Amino acid sequence: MKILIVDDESLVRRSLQKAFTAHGHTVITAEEGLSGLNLWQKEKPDLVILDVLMPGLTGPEIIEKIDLSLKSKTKVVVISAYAGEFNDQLKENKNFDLYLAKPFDDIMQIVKITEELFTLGKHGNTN
Amino acid sequence: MDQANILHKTIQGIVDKDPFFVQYEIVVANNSDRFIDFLTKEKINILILVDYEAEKWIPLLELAQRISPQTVRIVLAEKWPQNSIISVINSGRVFRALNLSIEDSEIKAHLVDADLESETFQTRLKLKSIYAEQNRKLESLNSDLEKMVEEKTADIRKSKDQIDDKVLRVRQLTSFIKELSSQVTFQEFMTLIRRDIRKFSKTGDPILIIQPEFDTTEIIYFSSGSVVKQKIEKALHISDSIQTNDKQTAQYLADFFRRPVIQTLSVPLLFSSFQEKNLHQSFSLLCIEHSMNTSELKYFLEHIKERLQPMSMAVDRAFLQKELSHQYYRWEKTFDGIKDPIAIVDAEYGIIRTNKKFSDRIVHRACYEEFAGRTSICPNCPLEEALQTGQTQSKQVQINGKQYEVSSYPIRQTHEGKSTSAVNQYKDITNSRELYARLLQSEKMGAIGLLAGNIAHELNNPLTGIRSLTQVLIAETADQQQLQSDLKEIEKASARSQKIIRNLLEFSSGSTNSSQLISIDEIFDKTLPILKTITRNLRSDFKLDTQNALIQVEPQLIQQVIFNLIQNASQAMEGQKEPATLIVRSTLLSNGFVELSIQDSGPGIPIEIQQKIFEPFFTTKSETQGTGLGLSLSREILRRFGGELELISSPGKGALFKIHLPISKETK
Repeated sequence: MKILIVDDESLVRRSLQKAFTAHGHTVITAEEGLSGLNLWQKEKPDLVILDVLMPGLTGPEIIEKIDLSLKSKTKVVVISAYAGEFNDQLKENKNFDLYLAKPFDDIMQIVKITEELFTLGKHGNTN
Repeated sequence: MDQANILHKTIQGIVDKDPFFVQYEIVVANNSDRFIDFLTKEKINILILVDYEAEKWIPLLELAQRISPQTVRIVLAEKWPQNSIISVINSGRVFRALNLSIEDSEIKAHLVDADLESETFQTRLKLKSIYAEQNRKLESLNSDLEKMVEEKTADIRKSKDQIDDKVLRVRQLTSFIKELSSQVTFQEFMTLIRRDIRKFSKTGDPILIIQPEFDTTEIIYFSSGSVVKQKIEKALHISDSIQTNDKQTAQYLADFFRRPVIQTLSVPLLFSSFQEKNLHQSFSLLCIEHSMNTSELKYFLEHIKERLQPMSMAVDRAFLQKELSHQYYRWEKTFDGIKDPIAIVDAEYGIIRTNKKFSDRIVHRACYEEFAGRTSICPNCPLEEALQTGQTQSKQVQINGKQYEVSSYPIRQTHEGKSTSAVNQYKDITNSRELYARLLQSEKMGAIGLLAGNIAHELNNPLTGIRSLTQVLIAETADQQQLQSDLKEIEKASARSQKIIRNLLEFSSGSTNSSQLISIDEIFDKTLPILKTITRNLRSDFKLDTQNALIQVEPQLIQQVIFNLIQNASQAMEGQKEPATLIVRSTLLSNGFVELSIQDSGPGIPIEIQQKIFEPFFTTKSETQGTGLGLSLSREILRRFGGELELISSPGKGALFKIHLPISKETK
């Protein structure tokens, strides 16, 4: 599967990229919102992992801007370190398939959940 | 008769011849009628009775003596029986008793004697009448004098009475003035006036009409023996002078008393001080009902006029007193109305006056005895400094568990002199200070929360990266034992860092004051990382068994309570030689409460301050260690959620604090 990771924190990008690559997935990355949106449109990945607070466009903004046809073909995972009501709003939004809170304790768990999401189809939030 | 004739001739001859008798004329009376007639009508100098029987002469002689006493009586008889001569001479007052046979020459000699006698007699008579006249004059003079003396005496007596009266009146006036001068109220004034005028029987009780202010009229009068004051709507125009029959006032009083009022004497009493100060257009009128006539009235008026000035002054004083007591009353009310306790105290801390808030009673004790219930001066009292510097001083003083801002305002008696007393005002700032401290606390926590949130957020991202990447690397380096174990250390450290950040975020997020269902165990667990530095050197013994008992609380607040208690415990055990042990237990109680107990092995809390430690601001710590807010606020927080904070401590055995919180119904 082809995965797009959009996160401004290079260590997060790098660790996720490594973890997914190790599981045999193709990973492309963007370090801010705008280039992330472009990559999504250009590369048409199967799964997108979006950070919330980023320079350029935020994760939710990217989701709003992406073509609906393209989005419907893509699984969307939102990860955020931001605690508070902003997250509550996000959760209600349901514009995405999975919400993951940073910091996560085990990256392998993340990979596993994400793979399950892709293979089993939409099954709501798992945290 | 012959002898009589002869004698007549002889005498006639003598009178005619002898120039000595030239003024003489002889008349002859032959009977008693003529005799009386002559004696009555003529002026007979010499009476010669001839040849009568001596017994017959006596009535004639007596008659002659009565009718004409000045006549010199001579009797001539032929024979004189001895006893006859004596009785004739004695009873008839005879000048000479002669023998008829007397010689002519002898007769002449006797006649000359008789003439002389007559003359002497005449002169004597004349003198006598002069004497009598003079006597009479003297007597009248005397009686005049006596009269004068009498009058004078009466005058003197009268004037003495007057003087006595005057003295009495002056004495009465003096005592009246003296008594009046000690009177300060209208009541006393009226009683005195009544007593003073009671001696005038035709007068009634005095009535005083006063207008202390422009639109107020008051009537002060006697009603069944006591003085009554009543306000009246209707104003009375008062004249400047005394009126003995003031009909207008009588009518006014009649309207007021609803009874006929007879003649009324009205006396305006002017008061100087008020007029001088222009305080009011005030006046007063003394009215006395009377039925006196003009002269009685005159006397009474004098009496009143003598008293006019002292009475005016007394009324004046009564007004001032009234004004004064009114002002005094207002000041007292103001004083009492102030919600802060206030006391005027002297340099020895003796109470001079207080307001009601300070003390309900009038006391002569020291302020610290009365207000603080102490036996010595309150620590930090600003009074002494205020008196020494003469400047207002304010300090915070703790009295009966309350925090007061005590301000001492020195009272300056003179411009230069040192103050010997001061006004102490006690402002209770317990609540305001607590509120301020709490505000400060929550602001502080808020700021820390904000800061921690920002930092946590900034740290979370890289930390997540570090940990995740480490985890990836651990998986990739399964064959390199050494590298993998190092990576594992990094992973653990980052995991710990994440936990700290998470707890910090939760502890400080004062903005989300939402209560939630949580167990005390979980709250304690989350507090623990923050307490790491504090508990590092302690031997910790934690045993928590109530993870399933949920309580409905704001976890951040309970965390603060736990934090405070553990911080106290740690500070209590600082520097002690024996191992410092902190025991924490959570247990379920039978009454539906959960208990978290925190026990230290410190010196314990002295019994005498065990009650006080829950008071706000009570602290045994130095200023750098704490505000003393901890325990009072902690207890308050727990009470807010239906809980309680208890202390079990005996000196030497450490302190044991117990947190009790009700288990939520949703748990069961």
